[in-house]
Amino acid sequence: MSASLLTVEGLSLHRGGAALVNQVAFDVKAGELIMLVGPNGAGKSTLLSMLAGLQRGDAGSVAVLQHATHAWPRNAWAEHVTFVPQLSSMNFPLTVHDVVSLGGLAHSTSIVTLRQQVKAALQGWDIDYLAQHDVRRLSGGEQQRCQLARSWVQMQQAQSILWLLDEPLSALDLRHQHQCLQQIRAITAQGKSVLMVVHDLNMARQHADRVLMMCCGELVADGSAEQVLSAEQVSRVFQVETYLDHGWLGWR
Amino acid sequence: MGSTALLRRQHILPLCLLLPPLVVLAGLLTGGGEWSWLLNSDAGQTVLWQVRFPRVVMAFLIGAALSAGGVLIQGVVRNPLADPGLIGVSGGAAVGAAVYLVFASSLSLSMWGQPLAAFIGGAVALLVVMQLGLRGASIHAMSFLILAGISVNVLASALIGLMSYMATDSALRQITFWSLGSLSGANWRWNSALFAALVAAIIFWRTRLRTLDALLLGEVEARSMGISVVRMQWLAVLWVALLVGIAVCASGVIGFVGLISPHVARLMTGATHTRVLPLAIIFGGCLVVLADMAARTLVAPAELPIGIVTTLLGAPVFISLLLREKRRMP
Repeated sequence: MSASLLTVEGLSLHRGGAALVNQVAFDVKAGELIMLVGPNGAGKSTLLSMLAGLQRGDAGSVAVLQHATHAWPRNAWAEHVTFVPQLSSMNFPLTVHDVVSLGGLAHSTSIVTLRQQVKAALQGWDIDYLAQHDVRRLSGGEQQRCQLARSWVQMQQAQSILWLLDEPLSALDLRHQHQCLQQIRAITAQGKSVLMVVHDLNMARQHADRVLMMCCGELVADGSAEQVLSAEQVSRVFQVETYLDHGWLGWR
Repeated sequence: MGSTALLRRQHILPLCLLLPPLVVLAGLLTGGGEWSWLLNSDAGQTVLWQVRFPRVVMAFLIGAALSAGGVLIQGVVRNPLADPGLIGVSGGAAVGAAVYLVFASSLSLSMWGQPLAAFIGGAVALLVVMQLGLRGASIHAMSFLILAGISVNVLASALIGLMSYMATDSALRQITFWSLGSLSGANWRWNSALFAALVAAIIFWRTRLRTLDALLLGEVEARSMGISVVRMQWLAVLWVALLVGIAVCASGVIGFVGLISPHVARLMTGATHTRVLPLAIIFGGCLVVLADMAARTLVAPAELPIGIVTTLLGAPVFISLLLREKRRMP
């Protein structure tokens, strides 16, 4: 049994009487790739931002490597947890290279190491030919790869142990989805863990070590892909009639 | 990027360092009097070194301070349209200075009373504007910031109007001078204060410029990179109010400088602050020296308020930026 990188207990967040996240508890073990699924508005993004320390719950706790995090300053969070939110727009002409280099900001990395890591990130995410381009003029998928490359640099540092990705694959084509999963697997192979939101349930069935399913702010299922993504459970939670055929989920 | 094809980025800054000496020299030699009279007669020497030199230096420092303020505030609010004049910081500082002049100058709190009042006025205006107009990077958030600036500016000009009714004659002249902007009050006291504030700002922000870059990506992104966004915003408010407060005390409200020079700097080198800040400081300094040359010579022997010259230059830049944003809208 490997050690817990992240322990979440009774985590809740209420806004205006409604529970966005309600009594969520789970833990993340070293080297796991966990996929978080659930309908729109289930609280997936809120949960992720709470696990990144960007929002504080009104009950429950988040512990990173068994350390309580309630008093952590921003830089302590960023040293351990790397969070990539959904794509947002920008008003300024930064280049892809500028953006990827910012991945080194959370840690005190030497300039030489950082330069090597930025170069590796540009190649590893297939954006080296865009390095000097203005980020605002790129397509959605290219911008997404640029942000992922930046966070990948942050994940390269030894203290970084958890990568939180909010729908990283949504804008990517098949080839770059494949590439993204390979990069994620290279990170989990180092004993670090990845928690990502996906909407493609078959993707989760094929690739996840473990699947968390949320609905209405609650964690309704937690286990292996086969256990969590059964036809009955998916039909109930997503309210679409689904069936299982040779390990693939389909719907009518 | 097209602009880098002719000139490599790392060569832009060294080349631009040649600009200030040339522009300052031009500023010294422009105006009434033949060059031979300026250089050879006692009266000419007095005009050159006692009158024109402090004025040209002040013009450069004012432009540099306003541009540095513009770069900082544009970075933390993630909005390239945020000029200290447009969003009401200069107006707030002018109100602070006018209130001090009308009510507190008799207390003679020392020479720092007035800049302190201007600093407080500018900081309050900036805090109000940021409260109103800070959320996200959408076009709505950007226009809200400008609307917030307009409302603060309207309030500031009403308050200045009110002050001018209560003012003595000499205070009234001062207040009129602030609302239009003029460099005729140039002296070494203001120049050293401006220089000290500018150098302090550069030293303080030099190690924090990459943090400003991260802020451009978005508030959530910056926070997930370990940046305390609120702290950065407070720091920017304090430094911008300091730079703009001293500039307004020295020369009144000179609009659009903090918009034009960072914009030109970004066009040349991209948005990275380690390149934008020094370039914007240089361009802003040169811009105000040149604007002052125009203000002194266009209607000679009379003199135009310099704020009119910079606004004539800056308003078209602002309009073109707005047009570009409009085209980006879905």
